[in-house]
Amino acid sequence: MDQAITMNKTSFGTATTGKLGMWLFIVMDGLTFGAILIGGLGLRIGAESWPAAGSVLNVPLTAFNTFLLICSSFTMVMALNSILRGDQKGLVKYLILTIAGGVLFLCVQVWEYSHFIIGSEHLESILKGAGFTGSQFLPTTGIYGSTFYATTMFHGLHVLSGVIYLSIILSMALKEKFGPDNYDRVEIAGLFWHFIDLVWILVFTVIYLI
Amino acid sequence: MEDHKKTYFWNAVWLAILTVIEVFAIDMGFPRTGLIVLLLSITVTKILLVAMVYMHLRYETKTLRRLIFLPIPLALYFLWGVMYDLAFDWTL
Repeated sequence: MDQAITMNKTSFGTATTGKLGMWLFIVMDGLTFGAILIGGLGLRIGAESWPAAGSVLNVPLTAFNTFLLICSSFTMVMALNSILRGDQKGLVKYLILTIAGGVLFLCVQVWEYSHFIIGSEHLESILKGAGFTGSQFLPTTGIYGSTFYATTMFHGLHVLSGVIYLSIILSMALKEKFGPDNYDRVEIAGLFWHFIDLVWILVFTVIYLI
Repeated sequence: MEDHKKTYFWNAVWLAILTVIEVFAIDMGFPRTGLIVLLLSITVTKILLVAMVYMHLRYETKTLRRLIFLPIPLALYFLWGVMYDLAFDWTL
């Protein structure tokens, strides 16, 4: 693989152009998430009522999902750590674990959505207590439902993109295309994955806990 | 490059502990404002742990760090701008 181009050392150290490009993307994407969260916060302040934390949404389940993303961030950074030491097997092992973490996160999120969309008498009583009618919790269930689905689905799409991205990196790792002097793509993919974790930390607090 | 295995592991442990504190804090009966301040403080701490340790920002140059953190005041400015619309009746 071609040697990655590095920027002016006095400004950006040894950061490659690819890495700077990913940071630029992360900043822009972070602002998009910021706009969604702040917009939701504005709507919430303007809303007549808002369900208390944990009354409708499943906080323990989502805390487990947060734990999953934290673990996957750890395995991702361990994948980079492995290739920096020339450990090809370690890279593959940790990439697989990271992808598995992302897939499991998505499965839990789909399970949570299906529980809300299918609905139940129990959910109906919970929703009634929170000031909503009906036995389903849908994107049309007031501004609360719209905010919840818009934010978590946007994040879920990022997780899905991250899983696809890491799968491509994994396929390259299986062909031993990376090494201690050629790890730029792994590091860049890692930055994106950590960003997904970072944003979820914020989403978890704003949507589920506050 | 140094092997940071232990640092990465303990960072994950701290992130998990802070998440548990957050989850338990919502049922501890704290005053609403205090709870929000506590949760946001923990969230900022967790974000910094991920950015500085896992994303290796602490090893990057000051210029890059400034470029990354510069948009935060812009987001706060946006929040201030949104406040003007709060008088609007959003009932749909």
